[in-house]
Amino acid sequence: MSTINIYKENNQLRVTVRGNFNLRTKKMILSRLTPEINKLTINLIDSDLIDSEGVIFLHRWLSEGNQLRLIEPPPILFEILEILQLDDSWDLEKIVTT
Amino acid sequence: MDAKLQVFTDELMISPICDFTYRWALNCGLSESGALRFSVAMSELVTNIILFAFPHDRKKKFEIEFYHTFSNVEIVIRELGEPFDPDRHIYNIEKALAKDDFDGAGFLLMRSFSDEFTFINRGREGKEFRVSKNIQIHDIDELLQQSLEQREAEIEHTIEPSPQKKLDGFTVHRIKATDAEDISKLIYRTYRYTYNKEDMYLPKKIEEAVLSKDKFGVIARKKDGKAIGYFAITPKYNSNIAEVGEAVVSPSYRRNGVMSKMMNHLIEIANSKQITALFGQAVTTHPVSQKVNHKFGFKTTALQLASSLNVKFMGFNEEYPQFVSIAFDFLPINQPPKKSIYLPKKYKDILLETYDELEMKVEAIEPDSYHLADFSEIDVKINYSSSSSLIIVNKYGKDFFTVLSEMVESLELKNPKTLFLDLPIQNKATPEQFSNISSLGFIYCGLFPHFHKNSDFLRLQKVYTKLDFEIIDILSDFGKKIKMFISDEYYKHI
Repeated sequence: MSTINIYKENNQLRVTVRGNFNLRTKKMILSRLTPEINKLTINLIDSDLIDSEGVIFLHRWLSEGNQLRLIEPPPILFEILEILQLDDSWDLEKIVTT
Repeated sequence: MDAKLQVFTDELMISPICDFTYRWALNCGLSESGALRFSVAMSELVTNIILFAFPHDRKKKFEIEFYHTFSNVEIVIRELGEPFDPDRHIYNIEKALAKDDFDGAGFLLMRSFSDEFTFINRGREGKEFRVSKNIQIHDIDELLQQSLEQREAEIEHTIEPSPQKKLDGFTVHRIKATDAEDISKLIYRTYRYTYNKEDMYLPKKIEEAVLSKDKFGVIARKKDGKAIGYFAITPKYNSNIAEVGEAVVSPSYRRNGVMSKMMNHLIEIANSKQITALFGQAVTTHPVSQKVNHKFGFKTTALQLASSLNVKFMGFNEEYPQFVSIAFDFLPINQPPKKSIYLPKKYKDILLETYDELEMKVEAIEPDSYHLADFSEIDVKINYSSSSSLIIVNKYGKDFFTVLSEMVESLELKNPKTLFLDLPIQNKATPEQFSNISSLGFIYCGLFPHFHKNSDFLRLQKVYTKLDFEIIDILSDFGKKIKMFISDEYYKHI
């Protein structure tokens, strides 16, 4: 199963995902985003699976000029970025915290 | 089948399905990373169905079936949602970056994280998706719990063909779970690393199969207890018949009557279990398996062209330049009462002759009127290792021809070597439906009595590879007649 906890702090949304990061997770995060939020921190320490819905959502967030920080993302994320050839457009050193 | 789920088209279901897939795949033998990748493939597939097949309805249902063999896991999803064709959704990075168009990304991941992805268009009857992943087989030495040194010594020992040894008596007994290790070693010594049922190298799997009564078998031992032969029958899951197979005699002890004595025991076991019939699928690269079958009264009723990879046997010619064709040998044990059958005119004579060979009583009837179901009931089985598929028609619907044509077209995209099509000849609609499908290019394969749900089937085949019939070795006169009949049709079609 997947559950998420969300905390809003000024212009920042802090999300903790437990379980899978998929279509439903994406929709839950989207529903909590407001125009003033431009910084998204997602803790993925308890998440092993992310799919294209999750990755494309994150990619769009970055493309819109927003800030993104991913805490301990699952290794499959990097594999998906490579398969979708998005790895070059992500500044992983800035985004990923291990 | 391991499990069947009926799922609502609700995105809430994506995670539970992926979690189940992960645990199930681990149980079947995938590694943790393999199971995770396969779960991502499932996540993509289920998401696509929810988003595109049923975009506005969270209360529709679709079905997911989970299958596994020793060497692969397969998930089949069927749904009746809006039409979409995965081949039209190709991911393009330029479009993704320039136009924010990520169409096809999910399908790309699905294909990347599985070993096979098959889409079968069933026309008005919906769509079928199959994703499968191979299970990495462990090193056979590891399976046999033998060290590398032992293997080297054994190979060195077997480089020269072992001389034939005269047996001073041997015994044949029903296998027990404790025989598992000896059976694995026999298989290894006979086939080395080329036996196509990899589970036979794993004593634990044999033990499980024996304990769960998935197979019954016999083992032959010398007086000193050394195992020299093994032969098993595996009951078919949806019909009261069983397959003889997994036949092994240690190369040094061949021509001592070991195989015959084991077959006698198997027939006794089948009788005691009230099994209607036995069947064997004998390779046609050499006549040995057919010889054993025919010695015990099996009759060849069909020839399946290009339906197996070449299996190398110790002591037999190992070079064979084409996909191996398989003779289907059948032995009725308990003859059923006379039954009515409905045969296509084109194959009526050869089918009736086949029934005669088997001494099975049938009455060929010209159907008067029949009723077509609203929907056809058609199953597909894909054999990934031999690149062949079997389409089984259980029931004809009003849209049968369209559905079948769409399915054949979908399966052809996978570049098969052979497609097989089973038609129920105890169904009144078969003669007329057969005439409709002649344009699809199928030719005769043969008779498969009691093969699905205890009913008789006419098997047709469509071959996509060149074959030299001269090197298809068929033993019996009637088998040769079937081969001739098929080769005539084959050459007319190429």
